[in-house]
Amino acid sequence: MQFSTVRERIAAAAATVVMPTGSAPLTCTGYVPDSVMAPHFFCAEMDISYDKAFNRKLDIAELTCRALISRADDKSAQKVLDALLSGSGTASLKTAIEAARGAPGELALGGAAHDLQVMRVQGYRWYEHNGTQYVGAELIIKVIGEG
Amino acid sequence: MGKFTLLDCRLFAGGADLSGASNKIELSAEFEEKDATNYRSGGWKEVKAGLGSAEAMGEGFWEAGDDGMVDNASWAQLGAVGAWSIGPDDSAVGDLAYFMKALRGNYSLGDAVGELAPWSGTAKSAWPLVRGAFAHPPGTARTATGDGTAQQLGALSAGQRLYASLHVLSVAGTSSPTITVEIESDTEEAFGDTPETRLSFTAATARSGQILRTAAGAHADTWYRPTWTITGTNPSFLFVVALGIR
Repeated sequence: MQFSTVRERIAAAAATVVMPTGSAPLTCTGYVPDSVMAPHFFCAEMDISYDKAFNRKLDIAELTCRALISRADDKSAQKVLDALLSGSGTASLKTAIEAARGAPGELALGGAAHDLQVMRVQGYRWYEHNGTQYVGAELIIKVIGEG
Repeated sequence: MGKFTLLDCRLFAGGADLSGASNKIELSAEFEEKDATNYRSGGWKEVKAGLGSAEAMGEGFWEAGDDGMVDNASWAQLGAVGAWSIGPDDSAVGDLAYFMKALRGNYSLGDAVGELAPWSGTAKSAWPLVRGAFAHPPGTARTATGDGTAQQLGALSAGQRLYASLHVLSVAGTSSPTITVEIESDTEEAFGDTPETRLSFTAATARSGQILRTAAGAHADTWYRPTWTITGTNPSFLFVVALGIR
């Protein structure tokens, strides 16, 4: 797996969400931005386990992504975040990202990985990024593919 | 070979290379212990070897789609006897190989939600387990008739046989591309004496596995190599050969 491609394509998949009415469009980047354009989804830290099958045929990566929402209004910010973290619906990041798994039998992320799963959400809290506070959460995405 | 970490075990079953779909490969061989204790055993239990048997077990990550993938291959092989070859560390020419004719006795798949789809299966020996060497690597495409690298395995004593496994992993080309593999022996590494054909595999036109052995009997040749005859239009074959004496 080429992880820069994996990150870019996860961000591209996340960008297909339909944001709740009244919210700004979701900015999505496959890298950690210096400056957040809230609401912003980005791919951040990554843990990689090599050699899960013989002959370099399987690596497993757990990618930590963050969704950060401007906390200009506490209630509306959290409603937007809730919509993004929901397991279904047009604003669901899980649904949008897992759509990039492709049809059964297809490789995921346009061939960049074998498969992926948005496994869980954690750390629903305030985040400080480059001196500014946001409400946000982390999404943990498991990606598998050839080494 | 010193101590090493298992990262590149190779598993070839029939016409499938299951190495990349596997994360655990186990091979075991045993002989039944038969009690032969008698009054002259010196006060110690005495045992002799009974029937021998071997088993290969593989497990890993399930894939399906073509005949080279684990699900397609496993269903096709289930209940059938075929060639199984295993390398503990890669399968380049000269690398250690264990191989046998074996019954694909079981196949299982599936796990809990959220797990990577797994598979597992076992094969039980129908012929002795042989310890030998790979004589042709899986990643070298052959497009024309040729000879492999000579391997010095040693001469055969009266009770020994030469064993060879062949796994044809891919076939490309038109006009019925066909490969016929034979195993030759000679007294010289350069095969400049009088090479003798010891084993002849059936001509292969598709993914397949075969295993052969000679009749038991002595001969003085110590060098062995595979040779292959390729026909067809723009043919290309990937195949693995393992050789051994037992």
